[in-house]
Amino acid sequence: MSSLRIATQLQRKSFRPGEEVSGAIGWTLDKQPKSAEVRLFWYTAGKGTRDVGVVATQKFEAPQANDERSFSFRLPESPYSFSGTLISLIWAIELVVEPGGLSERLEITVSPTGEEIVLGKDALHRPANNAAA
Amino acid sequence: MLNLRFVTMSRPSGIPGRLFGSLFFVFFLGMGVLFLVLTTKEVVKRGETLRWPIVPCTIVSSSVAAEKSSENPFRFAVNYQYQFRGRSYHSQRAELSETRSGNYRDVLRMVERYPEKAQAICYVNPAHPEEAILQRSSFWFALLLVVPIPFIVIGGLGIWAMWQPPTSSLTQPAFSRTVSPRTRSFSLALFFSIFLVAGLAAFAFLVIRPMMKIQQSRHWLQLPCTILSSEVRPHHGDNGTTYSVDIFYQYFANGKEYKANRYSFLTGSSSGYDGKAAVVARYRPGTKALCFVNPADPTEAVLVRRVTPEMWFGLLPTIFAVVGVCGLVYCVRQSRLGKNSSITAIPAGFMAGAQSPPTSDLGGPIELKARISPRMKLVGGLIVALFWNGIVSVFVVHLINGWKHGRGEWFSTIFMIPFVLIGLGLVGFVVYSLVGLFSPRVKLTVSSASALPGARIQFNWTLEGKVQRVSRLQIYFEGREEATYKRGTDTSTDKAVFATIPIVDIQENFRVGSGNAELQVPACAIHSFSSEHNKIIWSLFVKADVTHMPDVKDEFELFVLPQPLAPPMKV
Amino acid sequence: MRPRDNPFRSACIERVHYRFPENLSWRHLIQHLQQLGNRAALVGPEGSGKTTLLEELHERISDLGYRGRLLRAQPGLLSHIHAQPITKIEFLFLDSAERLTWIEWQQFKWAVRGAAGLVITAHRPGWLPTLLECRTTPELFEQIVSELIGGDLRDFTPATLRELFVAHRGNIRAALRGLYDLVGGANSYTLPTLSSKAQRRANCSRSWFGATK
Repeated sequence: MSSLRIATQLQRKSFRPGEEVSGAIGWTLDKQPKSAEVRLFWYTAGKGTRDVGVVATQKFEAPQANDERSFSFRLPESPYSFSGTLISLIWAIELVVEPGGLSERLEITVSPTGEEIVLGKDALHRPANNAAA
Repeated sequence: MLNLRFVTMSRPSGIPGRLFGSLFFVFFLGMGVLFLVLTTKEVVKRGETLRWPIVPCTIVSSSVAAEKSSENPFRFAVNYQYQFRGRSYHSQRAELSETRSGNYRDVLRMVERYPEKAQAICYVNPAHPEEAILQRSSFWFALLLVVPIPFIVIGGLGIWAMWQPPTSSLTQPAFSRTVSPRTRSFSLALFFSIFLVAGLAAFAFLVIRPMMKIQQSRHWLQLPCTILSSEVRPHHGDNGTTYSVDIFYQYFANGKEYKANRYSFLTGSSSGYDGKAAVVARYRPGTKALCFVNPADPTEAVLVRRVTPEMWFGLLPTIFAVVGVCGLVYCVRQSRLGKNSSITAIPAGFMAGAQSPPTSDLGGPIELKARISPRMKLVGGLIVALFWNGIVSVFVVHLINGWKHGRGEWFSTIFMIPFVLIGLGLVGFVVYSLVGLFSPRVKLTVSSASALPGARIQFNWTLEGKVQRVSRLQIYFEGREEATYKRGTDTSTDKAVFATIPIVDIQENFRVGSGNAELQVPACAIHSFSSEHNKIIWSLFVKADVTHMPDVKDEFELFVLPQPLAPPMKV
Repeated sequence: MRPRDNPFRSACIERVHYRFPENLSWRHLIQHLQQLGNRAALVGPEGSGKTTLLEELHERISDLGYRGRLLRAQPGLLSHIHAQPITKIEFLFLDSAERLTWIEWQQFKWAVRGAAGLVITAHRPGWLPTLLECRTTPELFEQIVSELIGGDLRDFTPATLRELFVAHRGNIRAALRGLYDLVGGANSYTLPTLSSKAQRRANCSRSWFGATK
């Protein structure tokens, strides 16, 4: 029975841009895999066709059938995790093991506040600014 | 977990559009092929005379025959005798086609070259010995074979392109493309080169050549001459009737009698009867006048050696030449642009597209561009409309003349309908662009095209045009989502506005013309974002309510940047 | 509701599997395809599942020992084929063949004549022998919606779903997109209006939306 595991340090799910995301991954497989790697990426979900941006990949050398490794990524400046009406942008870390395309994903939030930005919640209908004509 | 994406592009134009486009190019191709066929036939015919043997001959008679009823009234009337394979023959042909001219001098020179009783050589057709000529036709004519080639190339390429889908880079990553307009530039350059060559050729013939002759004639002798005949000669053509001044006069030079019929150095005919009638009235038959004679060649004479009003029309072809030059310059610039630039999307997740903002540029006023300049639209539309309708009108006038004279051609009439409709559409577009020229236009200058959340952007606006018609001006800052998805064979893009921040709302007309204001980007504004199918766009909208004209609503994209990175925290 | 939680978001719609009627299965479909000489077309109106079925067939073709290649009728198609020539073990799947002109279709057929097989999708029959005519029904739509929202159709009465289905002329994909807006609370969604003729046809006969066969 195969199983894959991902966990961040201190089980954190919220991060700020530029922060380091580190943690541990592990797998238990029936036989030795050919390759294993962990990816940091974002993807969109909503009404539009899904887009994906793989930001960083970390490959593991000589993976064993039962293995535990650590990973570390530096988060970029953007994009932030957000949700509007049509689009959600979601950050995630994914472990992929071959052969078989086995994968395990852990979603995280990346934003200056550490929380997903909800579009439209703030910054609406400010009074008119000074206008000199 | 990479996204499996198949490159999708907008659907190719439908069959009706391609057919219309093909018709346009078929016209080019047809004209070119027809001209090429006719020219080739003539060249081949002339080429056959190269195999005709040279035979001595004797000129029996040689004179200038005047046949006023003909378009070219002066004919070289010659009769010569020759021997071939033991038999005697007579011929009256000087060249393959009859030697005729509207210019008396041209025929007179032939008479002088082949005077009576002179010994000459002729070329005899070995297959038909009764057929002979005194001189072969010029082979410079073969250069005309080059003329239809651009038409054929443009027509053929155009038809091929209509039915050939444009290439896209299926094998390249979908988010990076290299734009190379060089092929397109070459085709356009070929098109504009026709304008340039035609314009220059017409200018050379109508202006340069007469001017040079006027200059050369400054040392010619002014001699008295007698007007033998004078009339306004009509020339009936497909486009109607044109007229020319036809004055035949006699003069003496070096003790010898000469005749000539050149009025000025500008040859040809044109519309306008009255001006020419006035000229003819001044030179009545039997009256004396003064003419200018070339002392080196007394057969060459002219009545008027100054610039005549008709010569100014020779400047009109320069428009074509200018269009050709402008077009070629544009093509060269576009070609250089294609060599040096490749549009590459900034790594997905931030920005992509033509307006990439400087990442930390917060200074310097920038004028934002909203749309294509209305002037360029008008100029472009005018050029195309003039070109298209200019060509189509030739055929339309011919058809109308045909119907007027009871020789209507149904097939041709029906065939021309789509071309006329396109021409009318182009005229409509020009009118629309002209009206658009007077709509108020917005110029927006901002202190920065990009800003961090919470930052302030100062901007100035100016309305140009019919500002007095503006009843209300609103400027607001808007953030919206755009999500693109497949809908059957097409793609569809949904938009949802999540933030609208009013900035300016003016209802007094005297205040709308110009002004300045400040926009504060919300502190918690999400940054601008662009990936293949999903976008977050922030824009300044300028909306002007215009009475009796279309309202103005221009969008100027601004970029909200992500917050600069905070110092990394140890986890 | 956040877009990521909307049960009718793109990723979920695109994962909806094709549903065969009771008397048909993958085995039958592949047998029929082989009887047609491995050259056939999936025919049906927009949003009837042709592309979904094509993509699933593409995934299964490797079980038959072929290598599948999925193509879309779009600019550059022929250039792509010339750049990567077709091999004898390749089975081609062409989506939206009706977008090709007659000339392009002839060129395409010639270019892929050596392929092991070819299945296309088209709105109308006539391109290749028809493998399957895809049609949709209100019941099918209800089934798909139920699957997407996890079985709880509380918020959607059959009448509502039928109205949506009819309004989109049986285009299930468009109707699902419409549900995205209804569930997501987008203010801009309005039901498309039908001509009176289409409305009468929809009301008079349930069999207008025939079952897939």
